[in-house]
Amino acid sequence: MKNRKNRLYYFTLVLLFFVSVLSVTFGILMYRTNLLDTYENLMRANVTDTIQKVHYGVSFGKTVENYYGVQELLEETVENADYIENLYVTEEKAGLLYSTSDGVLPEKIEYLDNDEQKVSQNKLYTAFSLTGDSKLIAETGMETINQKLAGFSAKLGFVTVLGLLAAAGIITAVWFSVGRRGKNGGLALSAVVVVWIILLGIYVGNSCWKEYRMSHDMLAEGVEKSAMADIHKLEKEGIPYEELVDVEGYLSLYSEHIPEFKEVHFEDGHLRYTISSKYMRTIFIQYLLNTILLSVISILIVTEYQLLLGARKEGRDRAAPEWSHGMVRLAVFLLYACISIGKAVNATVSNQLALELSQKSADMLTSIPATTAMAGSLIGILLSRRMSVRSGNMRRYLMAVAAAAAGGLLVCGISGNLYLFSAARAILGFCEGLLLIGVKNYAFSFQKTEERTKALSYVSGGGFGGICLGSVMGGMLCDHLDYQYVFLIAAVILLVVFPILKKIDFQLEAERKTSSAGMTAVLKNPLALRYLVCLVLPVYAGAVFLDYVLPLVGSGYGFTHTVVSALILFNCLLAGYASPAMTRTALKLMSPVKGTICYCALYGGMIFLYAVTGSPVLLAIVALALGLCDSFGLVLISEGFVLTKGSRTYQDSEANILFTMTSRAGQLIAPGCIAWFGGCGVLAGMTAVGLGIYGITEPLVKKLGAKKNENN
Amino acid sequence: MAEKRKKQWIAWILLAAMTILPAGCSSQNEETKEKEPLVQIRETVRIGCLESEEYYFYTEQLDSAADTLAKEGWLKGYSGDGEDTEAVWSDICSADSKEGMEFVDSTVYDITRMSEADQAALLERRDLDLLLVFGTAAGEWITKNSDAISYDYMVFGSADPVTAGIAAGETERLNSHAFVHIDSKRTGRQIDMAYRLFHFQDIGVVYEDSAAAYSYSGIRQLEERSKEYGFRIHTLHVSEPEDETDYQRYYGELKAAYAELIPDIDVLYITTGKIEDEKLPWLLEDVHKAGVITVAETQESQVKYGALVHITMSDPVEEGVFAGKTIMDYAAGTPIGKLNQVYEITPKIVFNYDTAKLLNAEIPMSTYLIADAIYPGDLGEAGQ
Repeated sequence: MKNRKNRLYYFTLVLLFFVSVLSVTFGILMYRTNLLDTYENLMRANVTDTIQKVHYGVSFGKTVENYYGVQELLEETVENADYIENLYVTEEKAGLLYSTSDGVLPEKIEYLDNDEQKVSQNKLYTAFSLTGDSKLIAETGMETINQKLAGFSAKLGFVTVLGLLAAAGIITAVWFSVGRRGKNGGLALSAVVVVWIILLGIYVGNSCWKEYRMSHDMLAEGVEKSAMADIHKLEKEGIPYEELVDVEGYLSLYSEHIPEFKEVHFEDGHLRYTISSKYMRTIFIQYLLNTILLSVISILIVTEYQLLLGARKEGRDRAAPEWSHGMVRLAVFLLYACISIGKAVNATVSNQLALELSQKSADMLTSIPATTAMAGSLIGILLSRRMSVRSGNMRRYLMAVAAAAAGGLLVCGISGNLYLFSAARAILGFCEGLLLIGVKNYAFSFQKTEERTKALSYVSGGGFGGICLGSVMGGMLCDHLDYQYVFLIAAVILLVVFPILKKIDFQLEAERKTSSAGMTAVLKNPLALRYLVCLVLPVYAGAVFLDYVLPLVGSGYGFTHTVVSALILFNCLLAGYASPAMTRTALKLMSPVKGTICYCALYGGMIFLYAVTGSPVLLAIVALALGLCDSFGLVLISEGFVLTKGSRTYQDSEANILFTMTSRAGQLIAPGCIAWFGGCGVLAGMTAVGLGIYGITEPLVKKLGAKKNENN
Repeated sequence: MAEKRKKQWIAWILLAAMTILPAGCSSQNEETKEKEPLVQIRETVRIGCLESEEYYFYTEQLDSAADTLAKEGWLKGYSGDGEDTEAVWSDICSADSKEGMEFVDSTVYDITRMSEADQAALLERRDLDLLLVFGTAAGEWITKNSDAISYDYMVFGSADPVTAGIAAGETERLNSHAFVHIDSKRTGRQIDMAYRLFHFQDIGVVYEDSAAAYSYSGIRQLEERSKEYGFRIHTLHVSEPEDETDYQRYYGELKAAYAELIPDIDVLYITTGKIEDEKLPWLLEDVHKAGVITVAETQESQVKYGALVHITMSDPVEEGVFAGKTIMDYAAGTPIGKLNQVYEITPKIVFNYDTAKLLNAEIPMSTYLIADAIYPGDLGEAGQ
């Protein structure tokens, strides 16, 4: 007994170590990205002057390919720059035009996008837009950056070890004093872990913020050096500083292109600057968001751990079914986390790969992976019954899903083109479809309503948590690593599922009772058919706003992957946690069908609002507001559909499969529609049309119903 | 059992197809084809030269073309010491040219010194394959008589060949013998820059009353910009000097013309290259005293000697390099009609700071920073 109790203490220490390592890893990645961004800024300060000179010269008739004096200009820039070793000018068709060194620019660096950075052969390359199709690529050594990163990692490691020891000490003290005896021992220990994670996150965030603030002085030094070099150059030509005209106009070029600076001017021979408080606020929010999300990842893991403990505790003295809830939930949590890891970035990756194939048809090509994912999901839903029957056991069912998901993630990780990525998304969609029905099958295997409801809420909650974790983790990782590595990391994480699945031993029952005849009967119900086509299909089509429109459009507004994943997370949190209260309120005010109509109207209306204004702020607000809509809408739309059954005899599970398939069908056609019509307004249009047809057909349906009653 | 095996085979084949097909769709880089080195395949190309008049620009251009040929190994022993076109041509002819290319000795002409008989003889020559033509006047003449010739010709050094009727357009040819170097934006660049800097309302220009002068003075582009920007053009005509003894007359009339324009203009556009640089300060002293901004059309040296600003319209060295490469392409077998006619000279921007101070012209710091040269001007003693 003592050993079993102490197991909780040991597991908590292991968890503490695991989340600390996770936080440290993310922290180092964040710091590295922060350093690279800082150096990009420093290089930008060094080349802003050069770029503006070229722009100015081009406006007077020069061309980049044929620019007299640009070689000397580049060499002067490198000479005066503290953070640039070499400069290259490339043009899309002509390739490398000028270079300050005789060295060769690595081929993949020639094709960098504007403001993109890449590390190659221990050199950092940053591309800046020059004019039209030409770019200026700055090269600097990684030695200083690596030194700073090593210093920070050592410091962070030292602080983490100290903190770990302190936290472990506190956990030990809490456990051996009150935790072991009390009912809420596990909760107390988890609280210590959570507090430690939050403090570690704050330390990392604060370090990054301080590094960034220190870089402002370095930025100003770089600008001053460039400006003084220009002034001295003109003085050598015989134009003294006092006789220069429009020096303010010249200096304003720096403040226009370096967003940190609101204004720069010369005073007593030195450059003075004013920081833009508006810009700093935006950056601070980004840093804060990163810090919060760093903690959220660990908190989600700790929450799952707590729920697992809770399930084990409850099921310990009961029969097998409750015992399996915890493990099934954990497995579903991990599977959803890995499958959803690309949620914040799939659309932007698709767009990137589509542009590589064809600039003209990029919009249509971008929609392909999202479409194949939904197609895969539909196939998964269709085959879930057969798979349930064949596997018979939840363990084998989930193992098949895990194996397929691992394959899909691996293919995503190695895919370098749109077609392979689409195939991989199809596989992951297939897994998601299987999981969706698998969770319901698990719940429907319980005979009693109370057990069924508990199982469904417990296990599907794990899915919800997994989606949150996956989106956040994927978004944060993609800000620091190439997307391919993120998917490969997810494939590795998925290996953890297999030992968990070994502990599951549960026979699946529900699917044996469903049949295609039953599903046909659902389709023959005009009320159900009308409901599916007019309400379910359009509103679920609108649901792609979150994981297709938001990442694509958001990246155009400068939203980082972290910001996008944060919006997805808060949307999911609102949908999940506000659901009980919002659903209760909605049902008090109106019937499920009326509530569904209200939900569809609100959903379409908000998407329409964004489509019309195109404002980035509204994009974020709508993303969150849709979460609030989902908090009551998802339950009401399901309930409303159940009510269309009336006195018909088909199974609820059969109706449920058709409902899920229709929702997937909506999500399948939506990306294609957006690409075809050139905007997300089509989603609002579909909802409006659906509501319109639903309203128009209402008298006809009532008439048919009355006629049927008469015949009866 | 057999059924099961069959299903397994089908599954493996499908899996293989799903893996191989997308991998095969990976983007492939186009391999750039290496440009094959030029190989001379034409029979011997016999080359002659015709210039519009004795003008330093044509001499330097020819010299630069010869230099380019020498660097590429097509001409050996070229010294580059010639002072005028005839001397340069003689130098080229005495150097060893690549087999299959012959610069015909004594086949160098100045159209201003040719009698009608000489002109007819040139047109009737059947021992030439290519005639290098320098300048607008010579270009106009050969184009007018293209029906009579059996050889091809290349026109270089014409400021606006389209207006002059030497070329139909950037890719069109007026006849099957023609190649004309075209840089259609050069004059427009200058006017755009001047307007952008000074936003003038009235611009003055003095040029000879002839079609050729109208063309190389960029009057057509000035008129087009006048409609676009809304400024007025004030023109006066002065005949260019016919020989060395005519310069006194020319300068006297030019200075008088400038004086007449001064009250009505903000900017003076100096369009003739015939002015000797040392005379420029004297010619412009009244113009600058009146605060009129001076824009040099033809050459950088005019800024050195007092004009406020110039953006390169032409550069004999750079145009000569283009001419040399074009000759090589032609000699290697590219038909005259397939040679690329368009080549834009690298624009250079030059200012004279002393003139800017004198005129109180407020040129922004950013503009000085993109200048390729800033001269201290020497307004010096008045010339005679």
